[in-house]
Amino acid sequence: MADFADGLTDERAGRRLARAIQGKGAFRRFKDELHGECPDLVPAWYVFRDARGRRRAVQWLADNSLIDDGSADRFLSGHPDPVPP
Amino acid sequence: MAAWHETSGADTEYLPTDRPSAVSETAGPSHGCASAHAGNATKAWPARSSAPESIRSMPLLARSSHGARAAEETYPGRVLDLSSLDLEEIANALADQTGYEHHWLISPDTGEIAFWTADTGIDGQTPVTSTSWTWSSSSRCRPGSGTRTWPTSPMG
Repeated sequence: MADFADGLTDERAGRRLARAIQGKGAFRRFKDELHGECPDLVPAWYVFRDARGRRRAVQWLADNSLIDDGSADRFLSGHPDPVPP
Repeated sequence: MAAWHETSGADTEYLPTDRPSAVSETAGPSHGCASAHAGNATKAWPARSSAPESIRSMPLLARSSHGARAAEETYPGRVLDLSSLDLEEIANALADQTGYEHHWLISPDTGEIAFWTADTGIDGQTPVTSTSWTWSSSSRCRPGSGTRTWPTSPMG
């Protein structure tokens, strides 16, 4: 969430989202802010989150030697870290 | 069969990670571990003839370099096919490691994800106490050495 907010080219939206994730209840506030104030960013957020999640999963699998490093490297290079809009 | 890391001496360390191990072996003579709670991972894991044969899942908490080193010793030459794994499900499991009462487990044999709870283990029938369980990993395990104390704080 922080990376998404930080990476937004819309600085105002980025600041709003960055504020929303401070303190407890960050997930709920981020979601509320995103859907309520920045609905145009919702699809991008899900793309960003899902891509990050897949990369994290692959990295975790590789870290635990559940997949081979070559496969992990190929996946990670083929699925670069997403860039917020 | 998973070959789990074992240290010499009286204490047996099966999955040394920086996180206290939440290895999912549940007590009991045998069970096919159905992961009915694990989203779309509803297939039953292969039943075992006896608990000490192997441990077929490892906690998703194991994710440090320490864990990685251990895993290299744990699964030499055995890896999963990345294309066959449900990365979404694994990602969701990794994101849901907030509770002490439940953990997501992955089978190193199949890559299937299972939901483990302190109350019911992973098959819904084999209770696991919150303080300890008895399990063994491989033939290298000495009888009686597989008892592991459940960590006070699984999240370290």
